[in-house]
Amino acid sequence: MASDPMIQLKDVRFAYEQGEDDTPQAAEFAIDGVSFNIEKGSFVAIVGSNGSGKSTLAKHMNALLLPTSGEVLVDDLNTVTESQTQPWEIRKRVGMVFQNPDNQLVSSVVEDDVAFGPENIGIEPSEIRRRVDESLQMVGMYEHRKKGPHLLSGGQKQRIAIAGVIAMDPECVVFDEPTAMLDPKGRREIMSIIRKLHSQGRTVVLITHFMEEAAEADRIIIMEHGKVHADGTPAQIFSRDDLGVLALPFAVKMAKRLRQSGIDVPADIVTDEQLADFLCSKEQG
Amino acid sequence: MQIRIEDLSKIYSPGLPYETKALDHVSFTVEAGEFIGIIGHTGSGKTTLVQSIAGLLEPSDGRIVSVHADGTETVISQKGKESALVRRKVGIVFQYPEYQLFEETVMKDVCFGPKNQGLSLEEQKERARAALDLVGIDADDKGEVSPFELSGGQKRRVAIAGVLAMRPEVLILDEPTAGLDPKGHDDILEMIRRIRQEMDMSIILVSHNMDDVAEYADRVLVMNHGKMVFLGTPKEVYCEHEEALRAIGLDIPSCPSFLWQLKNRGMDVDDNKLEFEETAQEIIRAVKSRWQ
Repeated sequence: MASDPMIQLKDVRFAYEQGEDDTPQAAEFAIDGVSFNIEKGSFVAIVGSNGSGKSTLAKHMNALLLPTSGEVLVDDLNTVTESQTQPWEIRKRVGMVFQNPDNQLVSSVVEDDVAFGPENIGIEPSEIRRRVDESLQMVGMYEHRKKGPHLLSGGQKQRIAIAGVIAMDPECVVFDEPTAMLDPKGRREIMSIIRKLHSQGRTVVLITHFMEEAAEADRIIIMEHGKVHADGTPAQIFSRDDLGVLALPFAVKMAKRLRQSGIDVPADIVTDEQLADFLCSKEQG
Repeated sequence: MQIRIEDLSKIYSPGLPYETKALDHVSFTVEAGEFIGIIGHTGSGKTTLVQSIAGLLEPSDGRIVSVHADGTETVISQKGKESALVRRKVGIVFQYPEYQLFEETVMKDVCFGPKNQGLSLEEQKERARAALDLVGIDADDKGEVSPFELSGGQKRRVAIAGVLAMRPEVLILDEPTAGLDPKGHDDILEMIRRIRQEMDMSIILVSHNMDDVAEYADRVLVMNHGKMVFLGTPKEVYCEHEEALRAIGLDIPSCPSFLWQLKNRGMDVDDNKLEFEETAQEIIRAVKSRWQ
């Protein structure tokens, strides 16, 4: 497969505070020598405990943070040089959704909020209208377009925040723990929007603590102490025995248990759906 | 101490166009030392319920009674009655409690509650030390540190210690693991289990995590549209009322949820299982019987 990277990280290091002489000690690096590419159209989950550097890494993907050393290329644009001249070129390509929707909504009317991004990059008014309607429909919030965001639930607010990002028509969307503050219903809604975005061909990066969510990605990257600890398909990642405190998804735990009792569950089964399919097809065999 | 919630209702903005019945005649009893899990959607009335029990909201109707070991009863919350008493007996830890830390040092922050209860400085410190010890924070090491220098998980534990230091008889926790990583999540739940054992408190846990409620709670209370729809052991609620819970749109714990998927695909399994091992045994039995 020809490689066509959306985002390239090359030996990225980042320190939040620099010492007097501008030379941070190794221990102060929140990101400490990270290199990998994210291919266009892929769905990558980044997991790791609190403080492992995953959010810091995410903020490098649309130039909200710039590397202390090393470089980040977004669609071949270097974030350091571009952010001095045309930061919007980066942010048009990579949109970002954060954990707390309350911190992302700026307007008192839903549709104005969604229009905020496209207005700022000088899109034609008729095109803005089209994009706002389309993105609100996509997240299932079109009927609420005239409401005030403060009247909506957390999950609904998060959907508005996502619509605001989609209205910018980015090739890639980075989600930083988008479901952490939501109830199960809100979580399911957000995950179904993420699946939809991926099926449209957009690149999706999902930072999460929920391994069930990560299991849906094509690839999982585990961060630990600012470094990449593991990188592979969900099946490869979940078969490792050095995952430490990361909780395995239910289906992976159950598959392991069933193998001990002689039920030969293939290693690439990582979701409930896949496991149920396998067990039920086995019946006819 | 037993707490009896009697026919409790709460109406927001009564008489106004946006009048909302947030609690609709809810009655149940929290037994001494019991662990109750409360589940329900955002907007189902869970938070209104626990805030009423904690005496932070005045009931529109009904009352809350505490029953002491000797059988005597005290009304601790009722419409039009000052509820200082209830606040002394019921402690509540809000969502994201770390945002409420405000003092210069960890020790001062934890002492704040006991100080307001009028205890001497000695007693305050003794209580704070004991509370910090319970949440797994070393008072000698961290007592004089600013709470803002701690990690997210540590801040949350200090905030919980602040409530424990007031020695409530009932401890309410509203989504105490929200936003934590899997290890922080497990640490907090183990801590709650320890607190319950060592301090012999009743625990009320509001949670969206059905697996946690299934594992830790003695009884599960399900709220929907301000009403209590079910109250029973995790097995009764999750296994016998599975369909109804799905209709409300609530999650089912992983084990019965997976068994239900198998059953729906025509496999002959009993989905009344909550524990991992018994679920595995049931699947093995069903699969092997079909193989032969």
